[in-house]
Amino acid sequence: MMNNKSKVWILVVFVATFFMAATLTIPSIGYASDAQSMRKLRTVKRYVERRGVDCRNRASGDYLSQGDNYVVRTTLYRQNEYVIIGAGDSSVRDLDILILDENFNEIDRDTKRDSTPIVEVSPRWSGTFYIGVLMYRGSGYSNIMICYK
Amino acid sequence: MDFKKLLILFLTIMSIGGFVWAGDAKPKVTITAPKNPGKLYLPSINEIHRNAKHAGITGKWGQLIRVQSKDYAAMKLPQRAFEVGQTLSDIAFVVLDSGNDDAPPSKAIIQQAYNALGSMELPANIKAEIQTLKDQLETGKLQGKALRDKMDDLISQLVPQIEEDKKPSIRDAGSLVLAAGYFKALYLGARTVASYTKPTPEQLDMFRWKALVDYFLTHFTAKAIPEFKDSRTVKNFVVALEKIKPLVNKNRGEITKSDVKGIARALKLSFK
Repeated sequence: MMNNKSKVWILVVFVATFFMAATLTIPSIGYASDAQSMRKLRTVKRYVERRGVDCRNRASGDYLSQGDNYVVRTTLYRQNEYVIIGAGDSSVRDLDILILDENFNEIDRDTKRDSTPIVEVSPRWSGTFYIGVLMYRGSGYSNIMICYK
Repeated sequence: MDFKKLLILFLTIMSIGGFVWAGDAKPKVTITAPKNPGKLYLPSINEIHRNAKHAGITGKWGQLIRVQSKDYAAMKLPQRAFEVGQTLSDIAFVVLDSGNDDAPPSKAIIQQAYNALGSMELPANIKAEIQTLKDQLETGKLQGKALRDKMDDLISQLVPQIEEDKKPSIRDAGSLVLAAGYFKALYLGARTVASYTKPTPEQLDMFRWKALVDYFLTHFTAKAIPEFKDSRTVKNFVVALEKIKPLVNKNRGEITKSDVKGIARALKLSFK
């Protein structure tokens, strides 16, 4: 039989584990903002720039609820290699980026469960493409940036 | 249920949850085409130059591009913005081209960039940054790659601020600077490829500029203020864009050398 001291310790572990799990699954709301998403995006930008890529002069973003998406239209050029980066604020749990051609056929997508998606793509032709940003889990502000080399 | 059993049950549930969480089975969610085509995310001029370089058509651009001194003060606004855009595009190719990463730009080029930017009505913080940049360049503190990064940072701040400015003349001037920069690069590309005996399909496909042509046509025919819309500079530019619209709005593999010649011919009036 367990003594009371052991039971207390087990209870402490139980509660701590519960809160850790809750922290992972419930989006936090403190300081979540477009500015926070941009700060995260700049960090990801610095990371990819170390690999010799340059980024476009601006970002594109919006607020999304879970399951929602927004689409931006752009021109990508054959022979350039693209790294498309995104970042959600602290209440975003899983943000995905999809690359679609002009007829909305999927070219590539990010599949990781994180709030900083990165997709690398080398288009086989120049022309109009769509970048889809999907709030897979959580909700909040997100921004994307197109980098190239 | 005693405490021990409860604990075992809890750990079992957490373990199952952990496996589900760590598994790769993430249901695929697709995105369908929205009713409106979505906001246009403009490429950077440097990116267009990079593409031209990858396509192997920039070999003679060094001879075609002449960054010349211009009397911006003597020009009225729409024309001034158009000239500034062309100058900045040329400087972007000469100075910001990755091949020149380790070479310091000449003082004459720096002065040209400063004169061009300084002639525009800009937000106060950007003007201050440009002055700081100029001081650092003159003292030799910034060269090569560091200069390129600093200029990229400056443009990153400048472009969205100008495009979203509440004063319509600043917004329209900014759009015209950008448009002149993009289409100067397109003009150089078209002029080069039109001179080739047999351009490759990849070189011809570079001219699928439908999105950019539509974007600037809409802006300068519908959104711009009369001071811009009715100016000769913008009217000539709009005529050129309308001429090239059917040529750049073609499917993959359909743009011909004759189309590229047509693009170069239409843009020549604005970029001679």
